[in-house]
Amino acid sequence: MLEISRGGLLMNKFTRRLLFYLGMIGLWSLVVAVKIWPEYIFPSPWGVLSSFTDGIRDYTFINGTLISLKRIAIGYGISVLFGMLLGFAIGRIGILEETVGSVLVGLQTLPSVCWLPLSILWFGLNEKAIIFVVIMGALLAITISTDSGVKQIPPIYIKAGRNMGAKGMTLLTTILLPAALPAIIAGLKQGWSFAWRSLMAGELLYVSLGLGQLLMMGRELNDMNRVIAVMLVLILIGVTFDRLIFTKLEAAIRERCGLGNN
Amino acid sequence: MTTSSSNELELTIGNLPSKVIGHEEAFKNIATRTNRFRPILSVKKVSKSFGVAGKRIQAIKDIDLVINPGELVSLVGPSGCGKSTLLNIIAGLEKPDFGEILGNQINEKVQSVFTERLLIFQEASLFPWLTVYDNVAYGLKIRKFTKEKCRLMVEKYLALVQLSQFMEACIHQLSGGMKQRVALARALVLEPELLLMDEPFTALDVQTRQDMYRLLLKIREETGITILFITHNVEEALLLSNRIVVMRSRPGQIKREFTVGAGYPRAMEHSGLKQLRLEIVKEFIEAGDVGDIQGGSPHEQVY
Repeated sequence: MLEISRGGLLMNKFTRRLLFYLGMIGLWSLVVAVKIWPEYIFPSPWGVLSSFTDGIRDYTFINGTLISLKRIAIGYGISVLFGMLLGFAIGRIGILEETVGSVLVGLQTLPSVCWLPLSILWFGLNEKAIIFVVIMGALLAITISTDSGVKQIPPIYIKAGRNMGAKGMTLLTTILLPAALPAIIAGLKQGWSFAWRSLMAGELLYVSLGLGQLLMMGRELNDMNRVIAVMLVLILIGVTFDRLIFTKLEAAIRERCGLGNN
Repeated sequence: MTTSSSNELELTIGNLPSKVIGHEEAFKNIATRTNRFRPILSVKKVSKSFGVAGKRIQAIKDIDLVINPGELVSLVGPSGCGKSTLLNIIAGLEKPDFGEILGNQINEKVQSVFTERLLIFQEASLFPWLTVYDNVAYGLKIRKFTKEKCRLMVEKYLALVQLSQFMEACIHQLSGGMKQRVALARALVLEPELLLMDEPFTALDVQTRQDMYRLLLKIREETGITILFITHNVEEALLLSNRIVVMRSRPGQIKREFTVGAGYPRAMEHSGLKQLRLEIVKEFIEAGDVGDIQGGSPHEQVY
């Protein structure tokens, strides 16, 4: 009985959402049909759709996506590795907390794209400079969340683990890491969104292939359809990572640690 | 008062002694590595102080304590008398400022392995990210036991604490008493020389606590394990232990020791226990040290 009514609600939710999107597209078409603005300022849904399918068909979107994803994979991967190591070190070693910890809090207030001038002077106008900015975007968020996650571990878990013979790497991998995991996942998620933003900012600022450049090219060609289509690709990628990976990961962790609804 | 004893734990408190666990009997299952003619633990002139708000506070001072194989010794004292500090030092989690802790083995190397002395805490110390099985197997995995051996040991000790059917459960699905039973299994599975219990039943309700007393006595009978038990509940100490060590606070020192001769199961109606309780409580009242000592008033009638 309950299941059925829930199922009904679910259907309703999807139907409502579908109707909403169709309505938005309808409204959009209507505004275009009235011709308040010329098409190069306010493109039509079908124009965007054909630009989108063209982009997919001639592989420009696919190549652009792959290039951007490769950059973020390198930059974000480095951030995850060093961010977590640094976070654990700061969380466990008092002297690092007092010194490096205070620097990190200051650096975190700096928007990551502000690293770009420095990065270009160091590495030149190339991919390395962009990856550096991506790293600076994600690293601090991951470090700070890992650090606070480690600090919030109830001391009793560490005591119990040490009493049973865990120390060094064993203590780190079997107690510190799983106990701090919820906070770490939150940091990874935040780090991902910072990395993604930094990447786009970097790619928009100079010629570099990637999705940011496709967006910029759209502007240079006055091709509004292309601009909107690339934005759609960016939204799709963002939703994929946020909803399908991080949200699921968080739910799984909550479930396992019994931090869920009960 | 106990109606739910449907299992083999038919040691209803209220009956008079039916069985006495002497030291000889308790020995029979002690791990073979234990030298039964040597103390399990010798605490020698141990002192420890802490810096609190710029001042040195003497937590414990000149503690001497010997625990023999098979004994169940209770350490009773008000909060802040340094009981937990002493236990942490014995468990190897803290270092004493002065004095030394010696184990059962003469071999220096073995003495330094503090995991021979396992702690059970008052609060929940089970790892919530692991199942019941993995919690109990934790120490075995660190010691690189094979999977099969691990499984056998975990099954054996979960059966001992009567939680076999909860092997795959998550920690948050267990009640408070069940959690402490898993903690007990997690410590026992490593077959420690000495089990240290830091007010393990304080957070439990009265009925569950009674069940835990019975379970603990049964486990002691079956395994012959030596236990050092900390409590601020005089009755708990009287119902469980062979020997009661009374501590005073500021600084924490050992005040007096009492031997409890009665067999098990015990009931507080037992005249010897009643008399002993009066004497122990008197120790605290003389020192003006009643604090949170339970079973505190000499006029109070329990049950």
